[in-house]
Amino acid sequence: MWESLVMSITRRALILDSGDEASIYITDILSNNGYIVHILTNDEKDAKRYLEKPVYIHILKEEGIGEDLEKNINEVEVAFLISFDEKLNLSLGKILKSRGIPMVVVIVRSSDTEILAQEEGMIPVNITKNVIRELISILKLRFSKFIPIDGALGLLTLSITSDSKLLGKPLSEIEDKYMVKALILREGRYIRDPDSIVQEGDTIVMVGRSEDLRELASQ
Amino acid sequence: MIRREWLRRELGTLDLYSLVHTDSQSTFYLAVGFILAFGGKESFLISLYAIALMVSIALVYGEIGSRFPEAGGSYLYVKQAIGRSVAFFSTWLLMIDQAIMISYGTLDASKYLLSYIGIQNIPLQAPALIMSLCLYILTLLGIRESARTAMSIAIMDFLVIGILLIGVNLAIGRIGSSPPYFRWEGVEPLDLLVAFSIASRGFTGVDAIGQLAGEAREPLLQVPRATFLVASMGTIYSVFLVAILMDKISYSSLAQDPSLAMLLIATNTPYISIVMAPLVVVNIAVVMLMASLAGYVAFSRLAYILSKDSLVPRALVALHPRYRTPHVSLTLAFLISIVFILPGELSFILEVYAIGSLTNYLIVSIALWIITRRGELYGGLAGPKIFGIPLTSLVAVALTLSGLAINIMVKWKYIWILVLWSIAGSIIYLSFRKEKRI
Repeated sequence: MWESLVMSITRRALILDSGDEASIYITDILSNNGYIVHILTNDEKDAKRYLEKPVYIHILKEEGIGEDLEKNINEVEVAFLISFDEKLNLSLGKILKSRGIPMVVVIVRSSDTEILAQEEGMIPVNITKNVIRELISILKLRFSKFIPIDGALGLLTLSITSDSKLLGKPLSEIEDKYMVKALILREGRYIRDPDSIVQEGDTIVMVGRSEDLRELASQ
Repeated sequence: MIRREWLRRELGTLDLYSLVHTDSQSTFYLAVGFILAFGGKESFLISLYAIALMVSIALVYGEIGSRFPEAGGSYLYVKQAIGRSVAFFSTWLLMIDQAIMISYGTLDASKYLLSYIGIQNIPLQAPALIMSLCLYILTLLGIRESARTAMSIAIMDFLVIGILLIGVNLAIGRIGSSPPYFRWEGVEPLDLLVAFSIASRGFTGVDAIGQLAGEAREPLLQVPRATFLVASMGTIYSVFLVAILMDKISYSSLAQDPSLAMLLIATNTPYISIVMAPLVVVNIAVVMLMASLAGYVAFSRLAYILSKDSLVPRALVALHPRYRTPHVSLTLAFLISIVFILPGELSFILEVYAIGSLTNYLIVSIALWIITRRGELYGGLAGPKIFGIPLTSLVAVALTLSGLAINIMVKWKYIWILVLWSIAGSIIYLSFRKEKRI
């Protein structure tokens, strides 16, 4: 007991109140893992939701994050900006990055904001893309588009879901097996490395014989 | 390699209360006889002042503590509101009180035991030093007060003092006189200022709750609830004990040895005095020894808080290579306790005890004022405000300031001890601050 008291280190995390269960769940996970959690809320009504949690509750001020939070900001390791207001998440994220918080996770809804967040050194989580992925998974959609190119040739874009047969396979194996040329589209980047492994959420773009592509899509 | 560990959140409201029960009650059990000895017929009114001061401090701690979910207590509050330097000094002043608590706890336990057994040829200091040494060794080996033990002792104290001593005296003995003078109408106060001075320091220890917030399951709600419990129980115990003393015990009996006030009530309890006397002696001795144990642990804990922010040398909380306990700070606490045990005078300890705590409470009351004015930190308890300033803070500032003023007037001859302690703190702070370039 003495030892743990002397050796312990304060780890702080910051969460922007989402207004729903998400921030409550994240709070529980972090505090159960030894983080001192600081919650940023808009008003006292939202603040009341956290009274039973072992957290600091800060009321967001118009002029910034406030003096009380500023005093602890240098100890914050990670910030989760998960409100429904994309602009608020981004603007707050910029402030927190400028204060030196190493990891700032922001919820975004558009690709433009996603790019902006990346440029600022934040980790964006695009809700829209995640919803689409989820929908594709629910509806068991195998491909998003098949375009005939020239007679026997065609182009197939395939979204990889959790039950996809291509999941976990390297690009080279897919190319050899289906006689296609393929590349991965992942988080706005194209990956051509044959050793790259296909992951859930990837989109694979393939060019090959229409017959082979249709067979692949039907699996 | 530094391990990433953290305190488990396992304490509920009653656990928090129990862990500070001996700390707060022990001071009152020690002080009550002296308040009455100096206060004479005005003692009940003086006690009401002490209660008002204690309740206001408890409410301040409840209100400010409901905003902080981690360990650190008053250091954390003051650092957040005012800054590190002031936080260091307010904590440094609390530390000496923890060491003094070890001394008065062991001395008072010895006094009760020796008086009851009837041994007069052994100096009081001898058993007190042995007890302090035993507690020092126990804490070196790694013994801390656990929530379960603390709750057992709080329950024992409630049964012995609350139910048997107070209950039987009220139910069977009945109080036959009226407040505020009871049967002491003709007893003129010996020294009102001295009585007020002791009364202003008669209830200390509520600050320890803030240290436990890091182990509470729902600190923002449980810390204020626990402080309410401390305030309520402290009020009930003190009102009835003072009333019983002034109604059933003669001033001359009490004045012979004010430090044995509780034993006097026990030996005068109708029908069950033969049982009550040993029960009260054992109860007070256990409460005092637990308070001393808490003094050792709290001294090290406060040193740890300061070292965590690099305000004192890390060596102060260095772990013993074999027992993995902070042996340097424990040894320092033991040495300071010897200084206060050796004179063997409980009245001497009362001259200096808790002035540091009172200063700490004043600073914490101001911290609540500042934090509430900022309006950024939300907590589970918020009292009424006047022009944006919490009423609890205003009342506590006024009462602690009056308490400090009285103490400086009355105890100015002894303030040098605290001045010396503060100078030592300043030297450590300034040299270490410079070294660390804070």
